[in-house]
Amino acid sequence: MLISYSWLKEFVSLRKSAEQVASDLSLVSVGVEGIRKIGSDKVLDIDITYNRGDLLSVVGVARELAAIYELPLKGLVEKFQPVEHLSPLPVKNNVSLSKLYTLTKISELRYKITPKQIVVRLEAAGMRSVNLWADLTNYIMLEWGQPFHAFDAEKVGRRDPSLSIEIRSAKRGEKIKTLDGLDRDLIEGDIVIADKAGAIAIAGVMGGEETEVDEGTTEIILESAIFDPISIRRTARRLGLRSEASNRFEHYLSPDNLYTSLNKILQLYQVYGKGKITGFASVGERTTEPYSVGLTHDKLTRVAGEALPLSKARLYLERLGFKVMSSEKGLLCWPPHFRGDIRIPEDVAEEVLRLHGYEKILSKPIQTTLEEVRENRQEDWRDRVTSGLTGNGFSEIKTFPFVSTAALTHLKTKDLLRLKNPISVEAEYLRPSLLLPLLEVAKRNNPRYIRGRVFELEKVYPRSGENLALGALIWGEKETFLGLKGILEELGRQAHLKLDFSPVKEEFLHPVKAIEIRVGRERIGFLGEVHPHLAAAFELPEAAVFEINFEKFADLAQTWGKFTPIPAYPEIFEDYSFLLPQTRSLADLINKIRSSSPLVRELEIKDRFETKEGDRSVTVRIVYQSMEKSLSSRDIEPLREKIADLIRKSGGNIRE
Amino acid sequence: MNLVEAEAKALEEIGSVSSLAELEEVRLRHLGRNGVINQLLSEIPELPRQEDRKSAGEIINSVKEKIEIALERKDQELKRKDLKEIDRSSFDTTSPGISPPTGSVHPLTEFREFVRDTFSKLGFEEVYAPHLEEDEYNFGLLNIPPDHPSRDLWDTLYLEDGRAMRTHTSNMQVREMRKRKPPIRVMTFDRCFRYENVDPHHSHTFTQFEVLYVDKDVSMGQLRFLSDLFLKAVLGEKTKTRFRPKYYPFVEPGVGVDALCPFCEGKGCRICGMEGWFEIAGAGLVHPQVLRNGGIDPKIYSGLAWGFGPDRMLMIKQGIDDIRYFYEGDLRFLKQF
Repeated sequence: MLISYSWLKEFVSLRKSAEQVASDLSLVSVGVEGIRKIGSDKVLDIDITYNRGDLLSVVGVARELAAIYELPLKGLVEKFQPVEHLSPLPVKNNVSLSKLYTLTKISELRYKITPKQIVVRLEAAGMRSVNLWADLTNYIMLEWGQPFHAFDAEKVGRRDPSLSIEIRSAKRGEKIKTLDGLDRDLIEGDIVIADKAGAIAIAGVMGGEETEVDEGTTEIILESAIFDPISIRRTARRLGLRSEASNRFEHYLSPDNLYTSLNKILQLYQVYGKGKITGFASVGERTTEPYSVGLTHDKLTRVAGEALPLSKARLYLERLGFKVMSSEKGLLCWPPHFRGDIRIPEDVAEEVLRLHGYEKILSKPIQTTLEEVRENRQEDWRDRVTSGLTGNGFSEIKTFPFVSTAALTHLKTKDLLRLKNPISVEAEYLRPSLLLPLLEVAKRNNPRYIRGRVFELEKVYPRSGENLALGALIWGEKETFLGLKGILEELGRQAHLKLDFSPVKEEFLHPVKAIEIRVGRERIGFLGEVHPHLAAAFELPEAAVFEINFEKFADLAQTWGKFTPIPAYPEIFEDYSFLLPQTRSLADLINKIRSSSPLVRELEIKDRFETKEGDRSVTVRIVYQSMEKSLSSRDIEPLREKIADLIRKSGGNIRE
Repeated sequence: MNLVEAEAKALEEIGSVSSLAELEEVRLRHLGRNGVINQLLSEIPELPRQEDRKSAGEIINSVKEKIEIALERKDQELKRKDLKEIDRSSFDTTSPGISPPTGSVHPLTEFREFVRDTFSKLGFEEVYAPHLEEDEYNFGLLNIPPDHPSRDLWDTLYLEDGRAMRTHTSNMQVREMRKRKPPIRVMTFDRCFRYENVDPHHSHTFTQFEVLYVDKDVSMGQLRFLSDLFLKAVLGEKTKTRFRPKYYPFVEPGVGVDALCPFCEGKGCRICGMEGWFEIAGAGLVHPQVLRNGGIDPKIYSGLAWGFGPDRMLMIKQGIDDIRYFYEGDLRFLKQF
């Protein structure tokens, strides 16, 4: 909100610079985002927080500054007192919609142009001058925080000679043409001001065009009210009509302040418009019912963390306009009428601390009991996996949780959650997996990095429920499938988990090079070469990807492995080289060799390559070792034939 | 072959050898198990006379000794030569090492680990709360009823099923209070979402860190303690911070924490927007109604909540000028960390 510094000075004799005032307000009340120079004046851009609706006016800020600097307020006026000769206006109010509703009739007005100072001040606050009658309502709103609306009484009378005004909820299908010339569809729950012919204004949001004041207006019905903030907010948002007025109606407004500002605006209509007040009506509470909040010394100490004397607290509160009485238990505090936000002792304590100065709060070490901090497997494994992958050349990425409709053409899935109010078509759905983000990142980097390894460890949002997923993708390397599979197997080893794999068909994966990953019966993810067409769509060379449900992984993972005794007897090494077609399973063959004899202690793939003829050539190194004795050539003689036999039966062709 | 021939041949072969490997071959040929000398020695027992056996042994051994000396000399000579060659060889040691595959940890993860370490030393336990959240945990139970004007503080993304994408990590507060008994010390470092267009300083997806501490006698003094402790750890011992009033519906009193701009030390510069201070964290004492919503009696216990935006803090700390770098996966950015 923009507040003129010279205007503030009409209410409080500030001796400090606008910059100093801005800084002090920031430290005691609400933030000041900037200061702008307009002519010889300065304008403070104040960031009003929701609880401090009372600061949405020059007078409100002046009051706050008076409290901060211990200065008196000046330029105040009395509350408006309706006198008996005023003719009553027929008004029907529904107090659940409007806590207080008043109408004042001003007659015999003579138009003149708005005085320059008023125009300048409206513009400094970011408002436009319209005509004198409307300008005065805005001017007093800026000064006092209370919005007003002026109806042209003659125009209302043409519609409804009885001028019977009613505050009611809009009817289904009801319409109104607002001041900006647009037809607005209203819904039940919108508050409208209506006469017998229908709505003449959307309460608190915008007036109707038909009853608008203009230079020819000679009689005004001036509305000043307090509407239900929630309803005003809902309507203003729905219609995209949030304004200075609707903003103030969304905050707490004080009936006392309404009557004071009414007095002031009526003075202006008399001074500048030569009008006479001829009628008045009000329905609702005329004053704020005072209430008290207690503050004990114990409470204040518990909030502050140190003992502040209640006598000091009392002085701070009185500066802020509280009425304070000492009681046996502490202080009884009656907030000023404009502070609807003060409800509980903590609110009062905050007021005391603000004026005392938050910067004076002393640091107080925490003293507490030690509690068991539970093991957090997810965090432990997150750390391990992150350092494992980064150690293997992966860069960790973080990407947005949304996927675009366009990207989804590549991923035929119905497992999607859709946003009700997406920011754009780029972000209409929540990602069900990390696949698309990984591909997009690879695409972004690919020509610059001809090879790459990336992973993300973040949430995905399938319909079955959000979960933490680990996804990794490599591109541009030789053997992407086996390379990535090796990485995954290494993660499995770290976690002491036996990962099982079986072929799987997924539309986004290579028709042949694709597997699902299981631990026992539990499926935890997939791994495969990215389908060549999908890779091409993302302008990628050969790429491979895996994704696992990280929560399941961390749950199953074992932190502590078991020691296997290392035999004391020497081992014998032997190599076997053979050709094995891709149609035959190397893993099966390896498992068979491993279980062929207890003397086969280890088996490792020493070398594998594709021959010129396109066959797969594999060399395995077998380690024979016994727990009981030194092996001689004679001991393993029978195994040689057995293993050679296994290789042949599994489709292998032993090379000499 | 007689002994004289054997000796001459051995010495000749030793003389013509040019490498240590060849020398070893020669040694094996002549002095090895199947070498001439050993053959001759093995024939000695066949001699009929004791004196002959004795003198033959002596003669053969003296030849063996000569050969051994020649071998040793040659060995020394070759090693000297070899060393000279190694000395003469050249190698560019300034050549850069062969790079292992280099990965990189995301700066937010690095920061997360730092923050977790700092607070876990104080006994705070890491917790999680859903990203897709019921309205009441994100808003209602935090004193933000539906349609309440204070909701304007959070532009919210909603799912078609009515759930919200959580707008802050504070949705963990009531969840954790309901699960635990005081003293409660929990922290969370996770993603939040707002309805916001992405530009260099804003992002619909961002990160928050938040701690919640509920115990007897939790006060503003302790909030100050925790806040100072952490900000000094992150921004350096000399960091100056200040508290000022700030409104969040779920705390009372509410606190905004500013840090003195490290670039201009408070004088005001472009980076801090001429303010001299950065708003760096939000905090406060947990509102008694929120404690009640969490099943905790505010007459006995009080609590504090303190949180900040790691994205923004890292941008200040590391001089990163665009928040989008965190979320775009550009390896030119990521590999710097």
